[in-house]
Amino acid sequence: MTIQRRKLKNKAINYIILMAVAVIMLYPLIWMVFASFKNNQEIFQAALIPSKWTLSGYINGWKGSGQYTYATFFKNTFLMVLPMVLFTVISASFVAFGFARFQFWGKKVFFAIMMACMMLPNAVMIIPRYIMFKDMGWLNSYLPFIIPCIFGGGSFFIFMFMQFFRGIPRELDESAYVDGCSAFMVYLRIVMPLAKPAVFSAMIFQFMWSWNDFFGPLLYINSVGKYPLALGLRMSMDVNMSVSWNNILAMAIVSVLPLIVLFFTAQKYFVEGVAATGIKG
Amino acid sequence: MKKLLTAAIAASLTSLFLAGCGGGSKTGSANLATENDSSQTEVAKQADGKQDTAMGDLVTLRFSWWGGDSRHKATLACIDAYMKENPNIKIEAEYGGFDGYQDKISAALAGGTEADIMQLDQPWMSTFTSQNPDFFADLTQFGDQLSLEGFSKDFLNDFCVYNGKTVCLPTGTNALDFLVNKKVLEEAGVEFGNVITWEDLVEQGKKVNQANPDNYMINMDNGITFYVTRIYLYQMTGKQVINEDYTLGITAEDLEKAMTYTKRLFDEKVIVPYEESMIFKGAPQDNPKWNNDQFGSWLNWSSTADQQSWGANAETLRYPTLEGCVNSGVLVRPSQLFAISNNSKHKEEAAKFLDYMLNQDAGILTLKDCRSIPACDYARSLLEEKGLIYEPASKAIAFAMENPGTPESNVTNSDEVYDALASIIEKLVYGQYPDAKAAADDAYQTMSNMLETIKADAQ
Repeated sequence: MTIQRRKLKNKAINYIILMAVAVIMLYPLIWMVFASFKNNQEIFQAALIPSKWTLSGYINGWKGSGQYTYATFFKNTFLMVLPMVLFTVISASFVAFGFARFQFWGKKVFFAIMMACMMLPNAVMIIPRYIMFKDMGWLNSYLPFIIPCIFGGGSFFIFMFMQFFRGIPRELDESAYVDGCSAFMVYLRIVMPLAKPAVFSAMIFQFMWSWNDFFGPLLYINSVGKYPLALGLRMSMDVNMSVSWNNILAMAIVSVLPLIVLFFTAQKYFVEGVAATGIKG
Repeated sequence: MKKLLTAAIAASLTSLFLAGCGGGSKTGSANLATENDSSQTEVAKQADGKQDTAMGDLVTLRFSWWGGDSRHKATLACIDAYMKENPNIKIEAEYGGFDGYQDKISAALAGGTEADIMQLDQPWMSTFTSQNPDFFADLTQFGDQLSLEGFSKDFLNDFCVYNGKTVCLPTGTNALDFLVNKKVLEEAGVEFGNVITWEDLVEQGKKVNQANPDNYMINMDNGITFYVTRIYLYQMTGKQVINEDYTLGITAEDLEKAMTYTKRLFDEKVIVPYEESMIFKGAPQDNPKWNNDQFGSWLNWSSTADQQSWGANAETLRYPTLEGCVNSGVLVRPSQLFAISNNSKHKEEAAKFLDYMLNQDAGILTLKDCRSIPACDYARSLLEEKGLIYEPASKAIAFAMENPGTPESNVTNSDEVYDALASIIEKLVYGQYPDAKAAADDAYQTMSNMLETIKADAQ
């Protein structure tokens, strides 16, 4: 009896601590949600709950700066992000399958190059990449984002898939080969279905990163009509001018909604994938 | 062998697939572009019968700027108006927030893909023009299309001429501003002449606190280092505090005098004590007393002149000065700059549009003060006449332009050095030095040591 009670007490303490930490972690988000329903004047005042609830932040915010509404920015973001996610999963898993399962000439060198690409700091590549894409005439389009994904440009994802494939027993492939299966079919029918958690992790990570990417679109996209959300949100923020924070916060909430929906629908697989590959988000 | 063959086939198949896909998305984006270019078709429609010639001469200009919503709206309206007047011109607006704008422009300049007309910030210019003196077009060559008449020659020389070329034009001006609340001054019996000396500021200013011990003449945080001590030094010596060669342009004695004066402002209760002002550091306007008619004034930039709700009581006075000073010390600087790319294929057309925004009635009246008070005299007086700009702010600029101070030298990391000066002044005000001389000696030593380190790092 006493042991049971002590256990219960410990559990209660644990949960109280966890809940307290959760509230602290979530507070900025909660603040953002409430602030988006406030008037602009009220935002920096102490009270969390708005004195008068208003939807004006959402209504005015959606209109943007006048020329384009957020509908355009949403459409652009999907046009950019969805192909990126699709191609990343296909190409990264394909390349990873090769690295994980086959011995071929120069494998070590290619693997080293792939890893080097992953380690290379982003900052050193900005100008060379910019000039390369300029010479290809791809500026002001989404090609600089989508095309590298088709060619296994996300070396991080290749590495992630490789780690996952290594955990899938080779015996499964071999039994398929014995039954007369080709290598491509082993990839498609045996390995990929088992790698579902990794596929979901890659999808979520790529979706999240490209959805939130600010610097890439900033460099490559010039026309406001092609701006994705990340640029659209920062469009009305200037250092010297009064900023309609309620509009920006309202639109920030609208723009993270797809991410939240995606995360919760794919959560089951995602957590599995993170645990299995040992990669933290 | 068989494996190799499959690999080769797979590779060629993928590349085919890619090529098709690449082409597809390319046309996709082209469609997108035309979809968004409804304005272009409008332009074509307006050209009516002369459609062919209009399409033949269609000139597309790219114009990039940063700002907030009000600036975006005003500028887009200005572009629309200009395109209506000139159906053969199409201006593509590329705008966004300030975040990352400098990175974008730097990359674009390096790749030669910058917009035809760019809004730039003054501190970037020395870097850009030293990277490549030919990034920007010399604006004096467009005599017919773009008039530089309305701009002060000295102002252009100070901020827009690099390597002997006028590469940019100021969009607006920002000047040091002595903003006062007339009601508070009258109630306390403060009277200033046409010229206000620093001595007047102390002698008259202390009356505010004498009238009511909760009230003060000046509401400022430790920014006083810039608005009082440094300006005082400029006026007294006529020299730079920090020279371009990383040495101090002033002596310990100069510093002592300036610091003695700064401390007097606190001792005589002219300026609000640090204990109170530090709560609102960086945003003195948030102090409830500011809008409650309990502070008499502040020394700040003219762009902040509207940060109060005093109504008709707000007025700009001449910046305090030292008698007989050579350098008025009243700094004026461009709020932003406009430049034309040297890569532009239609420089003349770009210059015409710049002229429309900066010099012509229609452009000036649509843009109003969305880029601060215009630097061009004509534009400023036009807006003033129509009551479209905040009078105290434009008065500050008018005062400053009478005798602008020598611009501060643009030494990298000089902010750190000035921060050190600020903290020494803070200690002096709190009484941690026996006298101003000890503080001045310490400041002189600290600042010259820091400059040596910075110089060593820079080389």
